[in-house]
Amino acid sequence: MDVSILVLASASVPFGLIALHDIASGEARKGAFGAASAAWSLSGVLLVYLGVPGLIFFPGLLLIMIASSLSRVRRGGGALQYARPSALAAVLALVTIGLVML
Amino acid sequence: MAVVVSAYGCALLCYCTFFAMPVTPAEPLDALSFSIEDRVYSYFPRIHETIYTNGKAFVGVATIRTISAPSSAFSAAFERLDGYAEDYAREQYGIEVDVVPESNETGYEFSGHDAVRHTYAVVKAITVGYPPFETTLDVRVAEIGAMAWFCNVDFEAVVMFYVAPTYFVDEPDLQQLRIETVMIVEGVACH
Repeated sequence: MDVSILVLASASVPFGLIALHDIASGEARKGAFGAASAAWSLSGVLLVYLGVPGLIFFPGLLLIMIASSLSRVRRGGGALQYARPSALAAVLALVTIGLVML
Repeated sequence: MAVVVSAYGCALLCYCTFFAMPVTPAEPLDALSFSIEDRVYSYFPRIHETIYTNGKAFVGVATIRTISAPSSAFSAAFERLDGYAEDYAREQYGIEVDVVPESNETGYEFSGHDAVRHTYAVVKAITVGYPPFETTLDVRVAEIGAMAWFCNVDFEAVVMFYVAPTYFVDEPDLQQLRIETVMIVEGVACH
């Protein structure tokens, strides 16, 4: 495997370490989503290397981020807490439409 | 907060390093009698280009550092090639030619990858016969090909263009040049 691919794969490591830090600090849910994002990114690099089309990985990452944002929504917390998942969903929709149209 | 900023900084540094790292230029098995000129076209993202020329034939290969490139993106770029080629011929050589799309394939099996392949005919108006009986014919004088694919094992995209002569009446030697051009094109691989 080329060094450049190892460098690309290592970009996920800092996020994985933050996720572990969150879990250790008692924020298990936040840490779990962080770990899922890091694992998804890392597996994306490995799977693209093995020949899987790379197009599915960015939408997948957005889905994990949307789920993470929605998991933090509290009842009676106001409409503003939906801003982040809504913005991410809009980006996901644009990316999906772009991929389909291209 | 500082930990999060540092993590994002490290990730950004990794991505920047990745895009700046040298590529392994895609090249043919044998350059035959073509002269070779290669250079780094861009350092960020890293793009290496190699130009093979021999008189009226040309093969250009660009190797681009990238995470992933959909075939559709290459197709979208290639669909504008006919206009660019006509303008280029007019501005560089003062020649009026028509560049006509002939084929386009998105799942073209090439060098072990799924490639995008577009081909164009270069049509030139040629006058034949002697006055007052001369007539003008539209002759397919050359073929332009554009191919691109993503080398997953290298995380590099390869974009290749070639121009090969297809009109041999005035210069029969061009037939051999066409064969050599096709051989070079078919021999290009990621590494």
